[in-house]
Amino acid sequence: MYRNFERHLAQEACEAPSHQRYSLARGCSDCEQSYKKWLCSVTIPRCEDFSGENPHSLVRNLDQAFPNGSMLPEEIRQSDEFQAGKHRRSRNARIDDEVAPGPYREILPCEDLCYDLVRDCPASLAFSCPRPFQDQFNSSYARRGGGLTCNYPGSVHNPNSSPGLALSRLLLTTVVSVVLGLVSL
Amino acid sequence: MMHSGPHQLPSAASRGASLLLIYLNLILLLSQGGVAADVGESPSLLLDEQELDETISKRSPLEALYEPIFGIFGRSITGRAPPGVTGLLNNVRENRNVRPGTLQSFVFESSRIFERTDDAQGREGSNATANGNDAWDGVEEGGNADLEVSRRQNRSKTIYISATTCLQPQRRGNNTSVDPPQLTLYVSTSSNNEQPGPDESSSAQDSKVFDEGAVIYNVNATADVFFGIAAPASNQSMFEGEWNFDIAVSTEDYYHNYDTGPSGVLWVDSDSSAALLQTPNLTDTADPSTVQRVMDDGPQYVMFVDDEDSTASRGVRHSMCGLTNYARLAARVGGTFGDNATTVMTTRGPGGFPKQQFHFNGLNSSTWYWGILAYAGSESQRRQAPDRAGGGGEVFQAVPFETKEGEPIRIAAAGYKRERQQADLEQGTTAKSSRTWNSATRQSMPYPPTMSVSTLPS
Repeated sequence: MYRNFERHLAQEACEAPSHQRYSLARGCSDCEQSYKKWLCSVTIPRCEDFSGENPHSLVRNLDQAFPNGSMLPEEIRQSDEFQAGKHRRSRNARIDDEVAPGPYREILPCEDLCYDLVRDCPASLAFSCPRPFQDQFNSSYARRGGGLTCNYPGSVHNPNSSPGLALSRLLLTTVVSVVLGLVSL
Repeated sequence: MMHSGPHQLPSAASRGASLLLIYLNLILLLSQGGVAADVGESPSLLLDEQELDETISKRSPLEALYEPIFGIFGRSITGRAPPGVTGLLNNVRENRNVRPGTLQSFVFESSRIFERTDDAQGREGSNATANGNDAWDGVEEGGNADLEVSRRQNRSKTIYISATTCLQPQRRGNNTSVDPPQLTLYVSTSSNNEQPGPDESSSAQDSKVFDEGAVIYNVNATADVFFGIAAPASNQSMFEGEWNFDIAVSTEDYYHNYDTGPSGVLWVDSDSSAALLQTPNLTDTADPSTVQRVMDDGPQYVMFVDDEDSTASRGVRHSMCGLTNYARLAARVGGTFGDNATTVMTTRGPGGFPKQQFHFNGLNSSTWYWGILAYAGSESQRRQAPDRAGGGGEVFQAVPFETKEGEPIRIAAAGYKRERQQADLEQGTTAKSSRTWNSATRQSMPYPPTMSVSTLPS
């Protein structure tokens, strides 16, 4: 998957003088980074248990059996809520074929991963993204919000971290160096 | 632990004699070339000792290391505390047992509280005279000495007492509802109450109960400070055994500490038997030399994990040594849990800031756990300067996290790279690109139960 991208990008003049490059604000390395982040988030879905309660997750792979052989009850699989094709399989078909995890819930990639791709890469690669008002948006991306609403490299379950940690460590380091300074006198 | 003779204050006559002796000492030293550095006023205390204590005092083996130098270098080596009381050194922790219903007593002597400032003031005084005319030395010396006396009488300093519970009485039978009672710290700054404790009147002392196995307390000291750790009588039908605690006192800052505010620990992800947590960024600058220095210092934090409904660590959640003894897992460099609890420094993630990651394995599925972060200092600090303010570390507030229920969901780390190479998803993918991928992402993904989950790459 990455190899094909590399080949296409290699046809761009990345090292050219500024009037020949595809953008003055972005370069080929920006495009590579954005593509890696996007590809990771899309091919390696961040998953939760099917029985999980995260309202921002999308049910996937409903028709497959769980690893222990059991299937979901018929009424769930036939319910109106899960009729759309996005629920019956994973975005990456190889997961269903080779990993065969059974039903799970996916935390969808953040929309800005796709936007970054369009922004950072040359137009010749013809990347484009679904927009929130379009139907296919909800099966591919999610919007950022408080807590874990969408997936990106580095996303965590409890992002409300206080800055106090680094600060108190700084104070401690200062105290320690003062003490060591006094000791060495 | 026997000490000869009670603490005695110097009388006026001996003070005059000691001043004279200071003066003579200084004259001799100055004439030898001005190495008057630390003479100042500490010899006055020591000279008092040499006048009053003619017997060699027996010191407890737990007291200060014996130093064969005395006299002009200002360290009181003879103990003056009453029997049964331990004298503490600055920033050096002591460990004690205490049985239910008993008291352990300690003293932090004024000679230790004020020794550093005394030395500094003495140095200034003697430097001033070294430049003066010899004929005036006597007058200046006397003047300075009077200043020293009044300064000594008016001096006060904040001292910081801290103690943590390392062992607590065990629960008998199926007692899971009641936690072991906490110890109590008693502090007295008056020589009328040299062994503060539950039997003394509360007007002559302050007390503070331990909070989840830790207590910190500061007091303004003008003379010796006396304190004690008392264990309550414990209900013998519910608990058995005694407590063991660490105690330390410092003139700079608390030796042990704990923080009840949010710790900022980030729960990155978990699967059905493992969890990944990390500290926030440890610097707020991307300056490469700072980042490199932090990375080179190595892991400075420890993280403990305990089941949310476990009773083992309840009662010592703010104590570093208590958590070490009772928590289910502890991730520290060179720790004893092998692959089940590992920690590593990394700059993964947005911005490339240094942070410390913790990976725990062997957890139960669908279970809530507590992750408790504690700051222990860098490896070199712990090795070279264990006796320092903050040497006992700081314990932060616990962070809850949960493992997943489903087997097929796994934290993908280097394991995914292995799967990709085995499955040959790509012809001729460069090794470089696959390695940088895995450095950017670390999350749960569907994973066949037959493949093993890798631990963090070292």
